[in-house]
Formats: sequence, structure tokens, C-alpha cells
Amino acid sequence: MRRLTTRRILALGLVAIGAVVAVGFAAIRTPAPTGRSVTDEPIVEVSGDPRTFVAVARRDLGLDYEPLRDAVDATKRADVIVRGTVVDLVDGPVYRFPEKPPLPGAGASQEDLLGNDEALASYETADIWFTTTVLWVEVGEVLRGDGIEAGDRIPVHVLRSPSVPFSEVADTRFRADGLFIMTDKTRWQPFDGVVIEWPESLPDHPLLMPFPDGLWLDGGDELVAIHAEPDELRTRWGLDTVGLDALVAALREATD
Amino acid sequence: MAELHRRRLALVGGLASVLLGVVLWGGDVVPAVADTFPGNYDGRVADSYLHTYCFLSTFSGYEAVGHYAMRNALDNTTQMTDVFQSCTNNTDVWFQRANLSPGVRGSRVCSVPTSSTVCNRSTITLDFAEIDRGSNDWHDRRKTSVHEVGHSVGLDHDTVSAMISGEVPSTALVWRRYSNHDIAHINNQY
Repeated sequence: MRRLTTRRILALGLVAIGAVVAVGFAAIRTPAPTGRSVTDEPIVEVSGDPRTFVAVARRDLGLDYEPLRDAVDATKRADVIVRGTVVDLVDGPVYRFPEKPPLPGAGASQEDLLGNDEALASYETADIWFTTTVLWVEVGEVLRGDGIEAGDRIPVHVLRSPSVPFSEVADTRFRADGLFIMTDKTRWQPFDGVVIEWPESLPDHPLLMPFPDGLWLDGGDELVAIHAEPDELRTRWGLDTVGLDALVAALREATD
Repeated sequence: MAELHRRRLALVGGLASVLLGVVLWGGDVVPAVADTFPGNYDGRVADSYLHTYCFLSTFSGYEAVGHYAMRNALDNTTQMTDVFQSCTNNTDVWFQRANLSPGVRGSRVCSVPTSSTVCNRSTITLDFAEIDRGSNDWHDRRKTSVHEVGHSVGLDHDTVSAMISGEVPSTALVWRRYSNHDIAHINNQY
């Protein structure tokens, strides 16, 4: 048992007195003009903001990736680099394991899961390896990419965890400018035996996929990405300011 | 107005006393954690200290990489326990090998969330062609495997351990282990 020193007894006393004073006055604080305290205000989901999309798109999905070292590295590794505007997003191809896993699994039964709707729903998607979201991008400028011109609309495929239903992504629909550094993965077969469900409404080519730090959206006061942070680019690419204009300028210089 | 001012002063004074008390205590009542946990973007943790795992057929030939992450890194350095088993829907981690999207060495998704706070099953996918770019392949493979297992128990990225992004900066063991900070997170949780 640790002995309480005089200093710690004093500390405990201060904590107790401070807590009583703070809690007491917090309880009688002046109400907001609406008659409700500020902390009672409901959290409103802002739709149409790329930051909301990013928060949903990266849920349940962790990556280890090799960062783009700089603009020159990006132009070497990418097949397609465009600046454009996200104008829509749709549910993309679903990639499934060839066989369904034992359901509901050892140690659990449907009865165990009764009353837990989320658990039951998750078992229905247990044989999905990845789902995807497709961003439709209206191209403004082509920095790299054969056969793509300004004004084209191109599909950008983004990996999504099976646990995130498209309905949640759809609720975040937004329109924003962005930069897309991608490779062409047309006819992608990620592993032997994969079962691909391709939406009928989606063209089968090109299958453009961005690098984890190759998809940057204009979030207003700063750029946002699904798997990277602007500070990473500032350090790695040696940029004073990280914005679409600065990134595009660096890439233009690298392609010259 | 004067009444409101007095209340504000008292509130600030009270909170300052709490802060001072905590500082005087020595800080050991407050865990030395500055980041969020779980920090894997989803707010979900694994279902228990027992982290079972299995290999899908695509992972054949790479089993040592999976065992390394579960045994050498997770089991041996934290209070979690690993158990190898056949793949079922309740196995906590499925290891899979695949060709991933550009630049991606490994991925972890929560395939079976059982609640908003718990993930019952993660799928870890490693892309060895991508991992093997550059040098130190043996170390890189294990680092990425450890990295993705870290995501499966709630860890976020950092720059001081296996949770760093990309190639290992060197062959030092530190890049195939979790930081003491993250181990504290794991042991507090499980």
C-alpha cells in the first residue's frame, strides 16, 4: 500500500474542493437563450461535406501503405493523375470469398444472436472480402493518363469495409474538387477464386484506384483524405502550403 | 452581470484546483495516453483478450508471417493470448493474401461487427508483392503483419513502432513491435 505523503494529501484535498466548486456552479449555470443548455444541442450530421464522407469511408478499414515520397515518385508510380470534381458516388463492385464461412460459426448460434440485429446483419455479409464505393469524377485537368480528357467523367473505385453499408455512404453525398493519383486496375483479380459482383450500371473499365495518399478532397479550410493527413504531404513533399493548387503545381513540375 | 462574473471566476478557480491537484499527485492516476483508443477509425475493439486466428488457403506458404505477428508480437509482449484454429465466423482474425489497391501493403477490415464497440472478426490481407518492393523483405513482411494485427485490436498509426506506414526504416526489432504506449493501451483494454 502506497503511503500518502503530505503533498498527496494536499493534492487530494484540492481535487475534492475543486470538483465540488466546479460541479456546483456547472449545475446552476445560466441557460442558453433557447432554454436549453449548449451541451444539450443535438449533434447534426452535416451532409454534403467531404469530411463526413471521409469519416464513413475509412471506418473499420486500416491500411499499411507505402507513401508517395514526392511529386516525382507520384508521377512514376501512377497511371492516371487528374484534378476534378466529385459529382456523385455509387455502390461499387463487391468482392467475395469463394466459399461462405461456417455460419453462424463455432460457439455461436442464431439463437445466441437473436435480439442483436447488428450481429445478425453482419453474418449476412461475412463472406465479403471488400466492398467498394465509386466516386464519379468530372475531370478538370489531366496531368497524366492516356485517353482521358478534360470534361470526361471517370469512376474512381475506393475500398470499403464490408461492415459499412452503402446506405451510410450514400447519406454523405457531396460535391467537391479533388486530386486523384491512381493506377488502372482494370480486370483486377485480387486473389484466386474471388467472386466479383459488378453493378450493371457501372462500366467495366477503366477500374481506377487511388493510392491511399493519392485522393485529396477540398474540405474548405484544408484538404481531406481517407487514409492520410495533409501534414504528411507537407513534410514529405516539402510544401509550404498543402492545397490543391500547390499539389497540382508540384505534379506539373514533376511531369515536365 | 457581476453575479455571472463571480460564477465564472468560481468555476475557473474550481477547475484550476482540480488540475493543480492532479499535477501535485504526480500524474500516476492519469494514464500517459495522449491519443485516442481505439484509434482504428471505427471505435471498435476486439471481443476479448483471447485473439484467435486462422489462415485462408490463399495464405499458404506464408504462415510464418502470420504466426510471427500473433505469437512474437501480440502474445509475447502484451496480456493478450493468441490461439491458432481453423477458420470459422467466430475466429477473430482471418489472414488472407491478395493483390491490393495501389501502394497498399496490407489491410484490415472488421468483417463481423457484433456491436458498435466490438468487432468479432477481422480480415487481414497482405500483399507480398507490394511489401517486397525494396529491401529487407523478411522484416517488412513481419512488420506489416504486426501492423495489421495492431489495427485489429484497436491501434492507430504512429511513427515509432510497427504501426508506422510503409517500409521498415531499418531491420531493428522496434519496427516489428508495438510501442510501450500502445502496449499499455492493449493491456488496459484487455
